[in-house]
Amino acid sequence: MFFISSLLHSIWALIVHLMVLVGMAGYVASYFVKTIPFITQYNLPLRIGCSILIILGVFFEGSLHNENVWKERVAILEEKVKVSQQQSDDANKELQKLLEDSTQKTKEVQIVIQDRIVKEIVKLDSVCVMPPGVISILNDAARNRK
Amino acid sequence: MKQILMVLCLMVLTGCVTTPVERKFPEVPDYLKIKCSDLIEIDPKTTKFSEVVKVVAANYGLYQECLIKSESWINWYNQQKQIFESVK
Repeated sequence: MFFISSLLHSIWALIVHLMVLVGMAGYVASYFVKTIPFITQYNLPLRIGCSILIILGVFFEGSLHNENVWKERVAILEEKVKVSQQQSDDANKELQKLLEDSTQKTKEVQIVIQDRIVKEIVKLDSVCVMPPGVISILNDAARNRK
Repeated sequence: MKQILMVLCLMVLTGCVTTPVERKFPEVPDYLKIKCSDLIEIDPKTTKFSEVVKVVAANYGLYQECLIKSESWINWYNQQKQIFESVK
């Protein structure tokens, strides 16, 4: 598809260049036609035709140039997008690693804390009396209920 | 006259070149789509103080994990926004 598009673009560019060249050549030739008998009557139509050809050619040359400028800009932008996608992937990987490491550290801290509870708090079980309503309050807070 | 105008319009429009570059804000990665866990509840029948402390401490741990997820979300968004906006 890209090849066909590129080929059509090249053919169109060639036609536009030819339009300008043929127009200019015809216009110059119209000065000589004037001097040649029998075909001198074609001088004016040739000049008008070539003028139109030059005008159209120059217009399409401008269009081609404009298109090329845009294509260059698009190519630059596409390259930037590609780089940004790579940056985005790298940032994602880095963040995932950071998240996993932090979660792992939290779990390790939890293990240490649970061990400390076993060592330091379990012995208080026989001394501490649970006031009524404490568990219910804590569970309601955990469930976010009134 | 109309035909000439139509031809002129077509000629002028050939100068309009639309060259869009499609860009999308990146999708959220799967590891950020995991919800925070619910808090653990204490067994209502327990009479042990240590059991209560264990559950409370575990819930603090769950909060810390959720905090990390939340911070990761904010970091992800800020980083991706910065990368996305750097392309102009």
